[in-house]
Amino acid sequence: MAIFNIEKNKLFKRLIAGLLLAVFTTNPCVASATDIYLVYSGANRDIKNQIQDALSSELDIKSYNTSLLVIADYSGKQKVIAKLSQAGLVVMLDENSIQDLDNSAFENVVHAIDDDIMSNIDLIISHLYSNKDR
Amino acid sequence: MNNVNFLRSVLGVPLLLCAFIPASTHADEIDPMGKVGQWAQDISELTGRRLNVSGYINAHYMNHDGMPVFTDKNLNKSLFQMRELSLFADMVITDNLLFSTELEVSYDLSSKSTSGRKDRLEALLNYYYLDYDISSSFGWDTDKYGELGLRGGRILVPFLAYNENKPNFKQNLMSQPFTAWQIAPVNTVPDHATQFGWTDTGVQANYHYIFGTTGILDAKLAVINGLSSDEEVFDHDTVQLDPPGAMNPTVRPRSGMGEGHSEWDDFKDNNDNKAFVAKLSFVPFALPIDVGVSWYKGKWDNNDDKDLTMYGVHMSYTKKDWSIKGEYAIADVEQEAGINIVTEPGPAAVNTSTGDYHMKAWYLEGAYIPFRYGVGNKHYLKLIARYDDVDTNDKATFTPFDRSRVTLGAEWEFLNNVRLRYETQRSTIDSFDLAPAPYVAAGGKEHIYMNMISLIAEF
Repeated sequence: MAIFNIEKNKLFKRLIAGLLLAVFTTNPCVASATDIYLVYSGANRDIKNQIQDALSSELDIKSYNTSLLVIADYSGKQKVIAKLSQAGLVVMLDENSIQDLDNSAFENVVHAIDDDIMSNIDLIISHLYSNKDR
Repeated sequence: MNNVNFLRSVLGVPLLLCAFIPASTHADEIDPMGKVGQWAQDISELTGRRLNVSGYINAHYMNHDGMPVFTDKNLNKSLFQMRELSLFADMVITDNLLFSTELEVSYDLSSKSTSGRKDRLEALLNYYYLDYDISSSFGWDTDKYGELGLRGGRILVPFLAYNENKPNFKQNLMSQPFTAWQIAPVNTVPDHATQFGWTDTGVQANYHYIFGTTGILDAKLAVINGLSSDEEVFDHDTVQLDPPGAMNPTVRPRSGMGEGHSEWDDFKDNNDNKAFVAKLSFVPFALPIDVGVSWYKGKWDNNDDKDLTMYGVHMSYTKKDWSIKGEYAIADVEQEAGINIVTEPGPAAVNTSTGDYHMKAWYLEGAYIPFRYGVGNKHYLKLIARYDDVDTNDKATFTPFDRSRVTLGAEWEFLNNVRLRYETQRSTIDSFDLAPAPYVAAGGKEHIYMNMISLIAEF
């Protein structure tokens, strides 16, 4: 089994050891700068934009369209979950995006799927403040 | 098919299904993969959600009828393997930098004379790469300019759809379509694993743009070492037939592009020429369709002289309870005519290269779920059918891989994220009347039958 050949695979052992060390020792707060990830699916970009425009411009807001998972490779979903988990708040904007991510149990998630945009914005802002209070 | 195999496939499946029915009646209470998933979640929490671990495992029982017997293996005997235990690890290094790897392990429970594998246990890192999100890093307005990412390391080669979606829990069948076996060289279940799937050392740029309410255009361009051969002919693999009697002729079966694989930890190129791979996909929002085209070009020989070019198209239409998908691929291989690399005794008319060739393959696969049950209708029974065809277009008198194939299958998700799958195949070798006598004497038949039962679990 080549993978357990120490002489041949020094490079991989060092690479993986270094990356694990980085994961366990670096401060996640420094690594993460994203305040909010707006997650939507398909053609719902307008809803995402309306919510993004209503939130403070001082916040670092990013977005992700889960329809991209159709063309992602087989670990694409895991990568997206790993990335979204780093954000201060993950906002799911429609049912399809929740299903596309298999109802992943993000610790910091809010489902803003009400038909009324203003009520969704209120919900997001209230979660933002409650997160800051922690 | 002989009587024993027929009885095994006709009676074996219902008996096996009966054994699983007691478990299925408590399907919503029994959740072994949920426990494994919880461990993965605990690891994630321990690292501040910066290391995500996930994976899958599958085991299969497989037997063929109609394959010729080789001196080092008899594929007509039953094969039982833990086919893949795969662990994915994705590590968030910074907000815009991600490291991903996949450890794949396979264990062969069959005898060496059945599988021909040197080691029972095979383990390797299938891919290992860094992803850098350029658009996010530079704060682009992604609605306006799209998103651009860069990937470097040992990457999955972006050619057709299958290679980037090869895990069995993402596919309807365990057996791979011909497009992903003989053209795009996605490694099959390992006799000996040089890699699982098709990975290579290189760099890939990935750009996608969302057209408002229309759809998503995705483009991937990769520069990789490419498929290669140190021999004077590209598909240089040989097998030694074992017909009754003293002679064991050595034959070059011309099995396709798979022999161009490098080892999973081999960074070196065999020449100064890099291969280019491009894939363009479109996903409209109005329909659940993914359509795309792929292209590959590179020199395969040590002298930077012989081209290998591949083209492909893929399509999938996926609804909740049914799907249709297919691929069509062509490989143009430049090769000198008149070279016989086989030094052992064998049929020269079969083994001698015939010059450039133009190989093509396609498949069409449909799946339908007629029955769902359990909490949230999560458990189901699925029926699958696939037709494959490959035309090696090699001017040799006989190539056993020039064939068509029908596959029928059924899948039952009887526990959360645990599936039982059965598939049966009938392959028909074209031009079998031209098969050399030793091939027939070794047991090779015009029709090859295969039956496989597999268990697949993911977390």
